[in-house]
Amino acid sequence: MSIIKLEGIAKIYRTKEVETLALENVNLEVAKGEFISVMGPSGCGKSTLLNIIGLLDEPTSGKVCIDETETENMKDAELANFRNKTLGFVFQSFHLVNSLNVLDNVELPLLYRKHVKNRTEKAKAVLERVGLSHRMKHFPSQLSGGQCQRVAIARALIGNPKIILADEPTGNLDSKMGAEIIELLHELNNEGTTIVMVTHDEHIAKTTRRIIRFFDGRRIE
Amino acid sequence: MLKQNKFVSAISIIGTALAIMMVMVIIVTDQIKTNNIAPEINRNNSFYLKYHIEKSKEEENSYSSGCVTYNVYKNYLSDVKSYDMATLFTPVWSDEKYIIHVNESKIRRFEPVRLCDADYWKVMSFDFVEGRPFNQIEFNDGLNNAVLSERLAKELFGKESALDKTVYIFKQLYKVIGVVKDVSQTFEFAYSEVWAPYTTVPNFEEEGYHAIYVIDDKDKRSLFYEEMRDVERKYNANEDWNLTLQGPYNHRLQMGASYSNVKPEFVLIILKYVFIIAILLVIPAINLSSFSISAVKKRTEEIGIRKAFGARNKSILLQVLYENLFTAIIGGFIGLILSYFTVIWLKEWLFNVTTGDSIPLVAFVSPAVFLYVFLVCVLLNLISSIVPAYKASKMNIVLSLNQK
Repeated sequence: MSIIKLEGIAKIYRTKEVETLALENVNLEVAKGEFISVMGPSGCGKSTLLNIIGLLDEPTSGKVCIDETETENMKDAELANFRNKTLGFVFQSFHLVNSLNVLDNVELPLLYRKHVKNRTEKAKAVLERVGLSHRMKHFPSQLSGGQCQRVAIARALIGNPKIILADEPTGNLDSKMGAEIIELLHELNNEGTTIVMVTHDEHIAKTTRRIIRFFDGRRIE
Repeated sequence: MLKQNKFVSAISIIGTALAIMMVMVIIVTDQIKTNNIAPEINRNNSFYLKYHIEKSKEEENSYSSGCVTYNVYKNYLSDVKSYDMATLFTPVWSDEKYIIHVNESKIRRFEPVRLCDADYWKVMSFDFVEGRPFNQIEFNDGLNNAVLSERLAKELFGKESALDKTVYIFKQLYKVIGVVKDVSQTFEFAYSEVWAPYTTVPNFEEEGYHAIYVIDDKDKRSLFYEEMRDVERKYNANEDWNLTLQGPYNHRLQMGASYSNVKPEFVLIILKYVFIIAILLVIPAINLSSFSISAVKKRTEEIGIRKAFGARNKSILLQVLYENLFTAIIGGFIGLILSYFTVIWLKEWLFNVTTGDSIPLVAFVSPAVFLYVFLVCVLLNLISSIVPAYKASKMNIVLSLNQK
């Protein structure tokens, strides 16, 4: 059963002077529990695809169906709620809130969920899981790149999302730290979380079950 | 925001605090000028006749204006009966003729002198340190009795009691029969350093006067005004000039009657007041708005992160408004504290109040006044943050995440 289903997705960025075709007629199905890598040269539309799957951006045309839910006509509140419960994000540049400490950063998705008990306990538990329970009161500026990415993964995990979308999660890390992060993602996948990861690293991509490739906004493989 | 944009937050808080402080000081100043405060305890029931204009019946452009003449008072205003108390007194002038000195050998000095009738002491409420005011009989008899301010009494006689001592005023000897606590210049009609009966001055009929009528019963007031118009009619029938009385005005309106030939406009006075307060509140609000926009811009990435992880547009809008409200509340309380200190520390400069004065200044920085000013400030603060908050809530998530 597909947890992610894209049909005829196109994305065009328009400015006054120029139109850029970022994605063209993309069809994609990702099965529940899959771990896939999206590869391709810079500017080929990988991140745009991930943003559309993550409901962070709207396609110009086509249908996006996530966890058997049509997302086309969702309003802001519904989209926000759906993102919060179903999707977790890991970004290349971490995107942690610098004014919040590690614990508060991890708790952030639960702030936007109603009736959540033991928020702090849950945050502590996921930090334990990623091996950062000793850094809870630290701020992002006090952590290494690898530690920041672990915090970002803990934040993506805390809401128990069905899908994790990782946009070059090892892009800013050295190979050793990168390997640790990929290992963590594999662990999550083994527990049933579907993962879609954008990467430039062929070696890392090969560790995943499936690789799809893009060129100039089109899926080529 | 407080943590993330310390500078912007500090500026917002200081801006709000200063705006509230300035408005509070203006309101306190206004209250001191308009409330019933000793010695001017009857302001709310008083009607002031400071000036009148006389236009020639023969020459169209010939007119004179100035303080109320003794002729008008004695022969025409004496017909007015619909009041509870009335007094006639001169404005305070530090003229050359008001040279005060204890004896021939002492240094001569100019001091403000006010000439008044005996009822002046009933209309006003002075705090006598020693002695008493002059009474009606002494006034009628033109006895050279004078009342001095505490400051002048000390300067003239040192630590000795001033009672029954003599001073030269207008080259005449006066007996000091009373000493009153110093009066601030804020009290236009009570302030002076020396008070004496106008009947003691040669040619007092030629002086210019102000009159105050105290009318407690509101129903009497329309009759009082009718009698004033009768005064004008009677004068115009008997004299070579046409008389127009400037007033009588209530206390707030007379504050605008600075010139004898210009009529004060109540609406203009209020508009001026509202305009000043509005400027003091709106300018900081506009500044705060631009600060708020720049603060939101700095947080673009954070807004993107929050929205990616489930924040609705409404949550972002409310968060920005809430944070602005928070700075407004902190600024408001700092403003209140600043208002207290400003009123107390700068009272001599702001209100012409001496340190020994008994005006309950702090009482005017009342919770009710503060609440009104604070609410207006919070409202303006919220209005100023609506645009940045709305912009923040509508930011595109992907663009927000890609901006640092």
